[in-house]
Amino acid sequence: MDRKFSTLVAGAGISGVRAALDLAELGYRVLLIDKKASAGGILSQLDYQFPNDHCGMCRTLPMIDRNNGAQFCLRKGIFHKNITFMPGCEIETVKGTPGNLSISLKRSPLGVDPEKCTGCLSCESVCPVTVKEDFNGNLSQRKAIYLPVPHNIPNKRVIDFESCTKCGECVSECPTNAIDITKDVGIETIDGIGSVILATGTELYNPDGVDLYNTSKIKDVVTATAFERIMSSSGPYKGKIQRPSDGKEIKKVAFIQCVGSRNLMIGADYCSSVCCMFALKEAALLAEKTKSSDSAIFCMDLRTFSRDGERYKERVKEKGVRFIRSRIHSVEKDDSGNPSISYVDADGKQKSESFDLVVLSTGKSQNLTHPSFIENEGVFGISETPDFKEISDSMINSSFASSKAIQIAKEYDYETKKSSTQINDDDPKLHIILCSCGNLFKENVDLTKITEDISRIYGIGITTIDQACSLEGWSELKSIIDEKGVNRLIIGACNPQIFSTKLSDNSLLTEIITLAEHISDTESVDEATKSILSEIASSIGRLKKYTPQKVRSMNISKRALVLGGGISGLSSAKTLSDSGVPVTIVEKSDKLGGNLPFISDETVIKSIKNLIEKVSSDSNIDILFNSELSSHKGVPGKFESVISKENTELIVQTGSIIVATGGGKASFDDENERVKTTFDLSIELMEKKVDAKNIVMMQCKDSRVEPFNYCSRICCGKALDNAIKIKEQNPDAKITMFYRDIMAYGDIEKKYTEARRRGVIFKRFEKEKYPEVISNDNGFTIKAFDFILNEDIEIKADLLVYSTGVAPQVDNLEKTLKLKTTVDGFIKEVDFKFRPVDTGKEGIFICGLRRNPANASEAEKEGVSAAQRALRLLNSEILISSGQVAHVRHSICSRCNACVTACPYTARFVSVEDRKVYVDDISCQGCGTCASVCPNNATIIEGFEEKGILDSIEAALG
Amino acid sequence: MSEHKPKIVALVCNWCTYTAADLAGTSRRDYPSEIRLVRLMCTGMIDSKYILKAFLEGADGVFIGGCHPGDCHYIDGNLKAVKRIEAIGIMLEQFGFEKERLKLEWIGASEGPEFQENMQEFAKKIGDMGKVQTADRMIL
Repeated sequence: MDRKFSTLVAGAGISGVRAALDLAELGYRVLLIDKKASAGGILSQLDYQFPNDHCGMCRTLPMIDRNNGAQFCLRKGIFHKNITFMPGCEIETVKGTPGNLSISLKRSPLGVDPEKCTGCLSCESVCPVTVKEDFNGNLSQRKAIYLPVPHNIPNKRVIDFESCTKCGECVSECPTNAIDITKDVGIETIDGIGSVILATGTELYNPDGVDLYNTSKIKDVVTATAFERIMSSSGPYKGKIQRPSDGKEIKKVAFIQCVGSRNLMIGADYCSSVCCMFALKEAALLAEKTKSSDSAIFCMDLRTFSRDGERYKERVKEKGVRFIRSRIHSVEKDDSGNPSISYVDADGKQKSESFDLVVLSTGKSQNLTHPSFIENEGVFGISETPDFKEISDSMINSSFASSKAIQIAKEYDYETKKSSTQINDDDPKLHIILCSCGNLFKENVDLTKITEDISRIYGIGITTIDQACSLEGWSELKSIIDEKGVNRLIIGACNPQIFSTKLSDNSLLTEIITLAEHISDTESVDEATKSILSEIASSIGRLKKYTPQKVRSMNISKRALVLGGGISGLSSAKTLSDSGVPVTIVEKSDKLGGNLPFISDETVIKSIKNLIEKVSSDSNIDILFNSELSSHKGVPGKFESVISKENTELIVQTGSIIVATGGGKASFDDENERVKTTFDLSIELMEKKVDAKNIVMMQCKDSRVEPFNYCSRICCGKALDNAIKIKEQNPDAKITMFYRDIMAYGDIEKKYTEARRRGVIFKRFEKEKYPEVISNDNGFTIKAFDFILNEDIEIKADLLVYSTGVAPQVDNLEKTLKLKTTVDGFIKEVDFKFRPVDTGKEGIFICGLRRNPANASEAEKEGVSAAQRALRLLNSEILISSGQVAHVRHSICSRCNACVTACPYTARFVSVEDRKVYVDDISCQGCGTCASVCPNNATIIEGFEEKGILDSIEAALG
Repeated sequence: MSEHKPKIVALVCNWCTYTAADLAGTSRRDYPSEIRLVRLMCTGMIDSKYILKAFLEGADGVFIGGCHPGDCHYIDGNLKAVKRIEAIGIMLEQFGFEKERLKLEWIGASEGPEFQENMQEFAKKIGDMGKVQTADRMIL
């Protein structure tokens, strides 16, 4: 039986890519499918992400065994030795049991054979069908045969059969006979698959359905995704920020929040969680790009519930963006044709304002459910229902799912042998292969001159292949390599990145030249020839000087140290132990469970207790109570930690460390017994009735203001729970909740609706005006401003409940482990979006409350996700270096330590034994920062040796 | 003045600017042929020697393209490059090179058009500046 793939990952958005990489990095083969013709999901349309308003997707790529994957921008596509990508596929049925699933896939024809297509565009030019380009939010047009994502590689065309008229023009025009329009949808069955991860994401809400905002009539009303495309330089207007109707520059935009979400009228009783941050980011980008400052976000609440969201919002506000509390009912056109919005302003006055553009923050489409095969054993969904998630949440959730898939892959023995390619280190024997790409290069470049010049000047063999990307071309290329005993290869082709993955298993060293870049309509054949010659010369320079280093392997301590026995620590330890890694848990107190006593949800309590039981009885897990980490040294794979336990010290050697020391309730003191915190009340409510009649709940106490200027994420949900419980016990109780923004993200929105339905009164206050509390003998009087009545009000209460937020543990770990923290004291991950549980130091991971406010199930998932990242190091007994790392020439190193300070990965260290500077091969990513700061040229970067680069520069100018 | 065709070297990072150049290439956005790209992994890898070498080899301009701040694949290599390049700019002036001949720009992976614009602009500026005045006096 064919057991090629351990896991099938359905959906190649960022979640699917993360899950696939998790498995691939551990040596499991993955089949990644997507119903679309390209990978990347919604992120392929978004150029910029919070919090730095740029990209960072490439940081998702493997850092260990880097050479197994392509080393270039991830937005271009996913290339990894262990990942096979199949576009145009959907799962029809799943049968069988884990370890032996039989999956039938519906394969839609793409129309173009990617092996043959050269991306020459001749098909597009003859295609008579023009349709709106959905990639650009329907703001531009494309042909029925098209490139689905402009920056994808390879740039193979596909046919959109929904609009194709099958006229056959393209078929006869294609110079390589790559097009076939006769194929139908086919069913393909793949057997022997271990498990399935469902990462299909969700659909975006389509505002045309219930067209409240005139999207179909007013051209200048667009969705948030379309606006993102308008701002993209590869978008419909090539980066010119202009509006669709008349091309006027966009300066002033209105963002309407909650379009299709939080709307009971259309049955959407949920928050889509990401749209507020999305709108803030777009407003910030617009302000930045056009130097404008009069945009407005119309919202009910501004849900900036991620750790750094609150500060980000304030930065956006400083740029002049206005936040207007109003649910907009409609958009009309004003006399000059601008979209105009009527709303009631803060003073209660009716106002009408015109904008250049109206952006609808469309959330997820409602009431979608997973296909029924999700019930099948061995199928794991990334979320319970098709959901819309912020990137870091997606990453954490998909690693949570992949950890389950890994258990199955391990159990049924799917692992492939780990290998790292040793580059042939014989004397360089170069050869150059140029692809003539049909007639493209023959016509535009003087190939004879190139061949003559190269062999005359450099004495290097050069072969021209007609079509290197075709099967024949590929075999010709292979035979040339074999025949001539080539160990250094330069390939020049139209889109040569595909070769880099195809050739990655070989021991030869390849340099790739994109010929297409040199050809243009304006330059002459001579110019193009000259420019290609120069690039070849430049590559020769680098390849000749390349000195391959021996691939090294390192034994690792196969054990993990988990700091903290709370929820995230427990789930980390459990995941690691299940994967066969022994674990040592270091717990400060004398029991496991962390914040368990403050949790009031019965099912959560049960699952944590269950987890504690499993961890306590696991013989693979050692638990050290009443102990703390006191010092630490070593490199990833071989850390040495000193644990102090009741006046004794013991040394633990581990390959990886997971920081899960958590946090807890922010400190709050009030002697008055009629003042409680939301957390305390929730515990009380589990056992007894609250007899108070008038209850006032005050959100954001000492929270979301300096010095604790972050949202604690969990208090609103808990306060809503409390309110509902009190109302259940005593429907006559009067509950008033003072809030700034109700952070009822996702399905917590349902609780918000429920609380309002039960008669809880919600009153908003502004950050600057926290309601004033006057206590008297009978209770309290709360003085506040009511935005609806537009006047000051007083409310009497006999119970006052404060939501005081959470704070990270103060444990000094950031100093012991040399980690970065946020201004609020949370340990900072290296990349908020794309590597949420990695600290800047390889081998050390961070999860749970110590990183950011999170509820129990979020913390649990973070713990699993951190364990998952640690498994990349701990899964096998040895680690193999990736090549392309830095080396020190000790004889000329003056030990000035400049490189040690400069290294962004702390991969360099001074050895205690001989005081020499060494590089840790696993941490080093080959960025070359060390080489450029070294005053003595004592550092060499494999593949980017100084001599090689200098030769390249010389050749480029020759 | 005889027609002087400038020589320009662009040292670009693998992750962002090279990708942008590639995107410009595949979307048929021509940039001046006098510009020669040299791909490096990161702008933080750019040794002062590389820039000096380029000028000594007769470059009229050196363009350096990297990821936007905060975007660097290697966390902050691009920020380290900023300081170094500023310093080299000062040095260049002392040797008779206008510091405008060295330019650092952030060009993100999706910014193909920006790459094209920057290249055109820089090539034009360097073209207008003419030959390096001290070029004939330099001894390699």
